[in-house]
Amino acid sequence: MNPTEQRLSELLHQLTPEPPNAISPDALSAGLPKPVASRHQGWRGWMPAAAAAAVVAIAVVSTGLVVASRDHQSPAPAGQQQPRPTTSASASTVVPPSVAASPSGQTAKTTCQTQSLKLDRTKSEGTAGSTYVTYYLTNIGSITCTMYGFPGVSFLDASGNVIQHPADRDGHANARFDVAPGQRAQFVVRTTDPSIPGTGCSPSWVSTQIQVYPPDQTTALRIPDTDRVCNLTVTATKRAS
Amino acid sequence: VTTPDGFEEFVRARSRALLRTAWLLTGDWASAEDLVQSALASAWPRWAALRSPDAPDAYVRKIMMTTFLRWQRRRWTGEISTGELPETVAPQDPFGGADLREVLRRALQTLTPSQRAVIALRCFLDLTETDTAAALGCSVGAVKGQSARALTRLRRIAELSDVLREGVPR
Repeated sequence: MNPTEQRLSELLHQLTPEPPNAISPDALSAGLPKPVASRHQGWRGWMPAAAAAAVVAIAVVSTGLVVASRDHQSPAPAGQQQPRPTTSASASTVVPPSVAASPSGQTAKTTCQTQSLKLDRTKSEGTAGSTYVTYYLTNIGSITCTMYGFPGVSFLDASGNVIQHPADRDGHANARFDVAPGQRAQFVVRTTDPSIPGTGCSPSWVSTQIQVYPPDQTTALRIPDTDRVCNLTVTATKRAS
Repeated sequence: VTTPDGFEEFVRARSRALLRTAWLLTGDWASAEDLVQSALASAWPRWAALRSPDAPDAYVRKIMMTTFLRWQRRRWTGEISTGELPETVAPQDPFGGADLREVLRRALQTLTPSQRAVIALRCFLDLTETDTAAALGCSVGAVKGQSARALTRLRRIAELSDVLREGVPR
């Protein structure tokens, strides 16, 4: 970034307002049209057909759930009523098995899922120009799972934005390994000293949280973590020593 | 049909950040919400197929940018660019921050949609030129060109030129 871009960047970070409302996943998946008046002619009109169909499908699921829980107390919002998978009035048949069935009976030796992992940070170790921090992913589930490859690591500022960019991968992946309940996997994040000339980093890039997607997972873990952030790299996961 | 793994968590965790980016692009919250909702609605049918850990962020970002640029090509958005800006803010003005935000908002609206997209990705999301090019589906050269033209245009705006030359007032 050149100095002008740098200043514009500071300006944007400082002045971009917080949104008045977050988007609720429930409202989104129910496919409810937004009540806010807008120049656009309703967002559903512009969705690709596949997405529109998918949203209608979700609407059916959630309508079923509403019926199941509220028992006709309130009419379902308009636009959700057309396609029903069954003609039966019984709410339980409306809920597809995939939703109703519990995801128990997970077979042994599957990839470690985010929800069965806990993230911890250790003290940092400095060397000339770089800081190394080891992080642990502990298996808090009840079965042994396996892990292979790199975690997705970003540091977030107070607004939840990624600082600079997610960590680059450093080195090669290790062989797939088992993580028994209570055991830990580890990975190391390296950050460069931003005061070294030529890093392109600002000393003001300090995180409030680290966000980690465990290998092959689409759900992230976050823990508070105040660190300087500059040209991050991350190693592959391995069994903790 | 069920919501794919991680989608709800992603929406909860990232919607505010996405909305802020969308606000920079569209200049108002109603359109920003439209944009983010459309992007998420397009992203989720393929959610389960996203394997790499950073994929959701990059994927939704790309869809949002594509959607935004496609909307801008439609005539009904009725966007009218203007070179007019509010009056200059006196230094030490307690409302300077709010006024400067309005200056910035309107200044961004004088850019072309592609320029605005490049600025949002490079300077707000702090992406590299390579990642910006990937999000927009264009070349790194095009990113550099758009970025340079955008900065030239912003520097010509009187209320911004000082700030861009000397940094943000503290």
